[in-house]
Amino acid sequence: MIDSFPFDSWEDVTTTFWTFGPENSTGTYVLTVLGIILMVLAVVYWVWLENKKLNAQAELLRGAGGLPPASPTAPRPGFQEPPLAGPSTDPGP
Amino acid sequence: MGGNLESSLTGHLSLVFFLAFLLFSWTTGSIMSGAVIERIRLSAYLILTVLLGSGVWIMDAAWGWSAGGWLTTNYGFHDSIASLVVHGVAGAFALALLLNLGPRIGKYDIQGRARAFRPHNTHLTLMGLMLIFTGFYGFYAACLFIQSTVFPGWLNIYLSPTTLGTIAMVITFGFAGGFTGGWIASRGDPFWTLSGGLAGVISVSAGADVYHPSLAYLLSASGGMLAVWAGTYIEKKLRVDDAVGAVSVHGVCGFYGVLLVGIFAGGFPTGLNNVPTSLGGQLMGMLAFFPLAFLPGYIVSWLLKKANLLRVPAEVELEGLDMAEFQQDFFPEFERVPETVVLPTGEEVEAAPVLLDAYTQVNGHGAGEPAGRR
Repeated sequence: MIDSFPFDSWEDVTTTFWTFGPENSTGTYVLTVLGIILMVLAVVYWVWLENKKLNAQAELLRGAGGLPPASPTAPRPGFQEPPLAGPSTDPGP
Repeated sequence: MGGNLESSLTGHLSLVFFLAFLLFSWTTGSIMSGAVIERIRLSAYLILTVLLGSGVWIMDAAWGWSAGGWLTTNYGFHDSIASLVVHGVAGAFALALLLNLGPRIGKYDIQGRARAFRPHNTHLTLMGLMLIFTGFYGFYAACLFIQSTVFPGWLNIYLSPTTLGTIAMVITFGFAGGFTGGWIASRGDPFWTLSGGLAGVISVSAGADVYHPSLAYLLSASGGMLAVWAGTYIEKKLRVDDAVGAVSVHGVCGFYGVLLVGIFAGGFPTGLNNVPTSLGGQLMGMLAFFPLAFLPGYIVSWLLKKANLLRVPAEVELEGLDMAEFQQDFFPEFERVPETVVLPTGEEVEAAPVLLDAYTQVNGHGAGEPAGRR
């Protein structure tokens, strides 16, 4: 039964009602480009805002006491490096 | 694709397939999410998800998850329900990311022995796994074409005949076998038993259109066991902190699944050229997809790490990310109970002193050592 639906004619009718015109029209391309720009800007803003929030919260927690200040040369995790709080590579005295 | 189907619904089915591919691209990101929780920045996760779902996944699907992909037409690569092209690739990408991200604070003690972090709520953890099981039936069905005018009415992604019943039976037996294997290998651990079900299905997905259900049960049982062993090895030997075992369940079992097809379904004709599936062809796919996933994941996460945009500050990680990221307590209705961790000796202790000690070690003040010496 589903094969008898007049999909093609319905599609023609609905596309004529699209606000900025059917596919491959200038309006559609303009909307697409605007959407991509907004998406990229949102990601950049997200990175900046999250960085600001995390640093502020870290400062707040350090300022409240109970946690020692972070070392400027604190080791970071990574390949070829010992894991956080993992085995020390320092043989010690 | 459309001309071969000879259906007036072709264009509309293409839209459905586009949405299915979109779902799968999100799936790759969700697989990665479990491995990196509790210390990655949301923005870094978003960027890496876009890379994985919109770049790596699209590329690997074009290579080996279409009737005209070069791996399919040249080597008969067969991964019918996406063991490798979704799960394995996401696992390899997650592994690369974890190498740069590092373990959670307190995960390993000063001797490098792994501690176990208890789940926040085991009921919800297991319920989440059951929701995944339910979704898998839809996931599998979305991997098929409807070809109503030709027997048997369905086609797999390589346009070879199959049936929905075949797929559904293999999933069901795959879960059963995976539970069995996961239960045996973990000696009854609830998390790994249910994760074993997932690993079992992933292990038989590549050949789900070919396997006899009884064979699927046995193969998925081996996959469930493999996931537990691989997860333990990754956590305790490699010291890679994969919080939910995503690399072993999805990554290892994804690659294992296509290897099994080469062994147990060799000779099955695949793709437009009907090239026989072979062990060599499956190995070729594995060799092609591992670097395709691993290298972008490692390079981009390394760049984010160098820009100090990959991981949250240690203080925030210790507190939990909700307050810093969202400025609210997500569980205000519950009385806070002290969190616990399981030491390598098996003893369960309160987490706070252990984590605080680990924090001081991270910041270079631990164990009597001067800052920055470690």
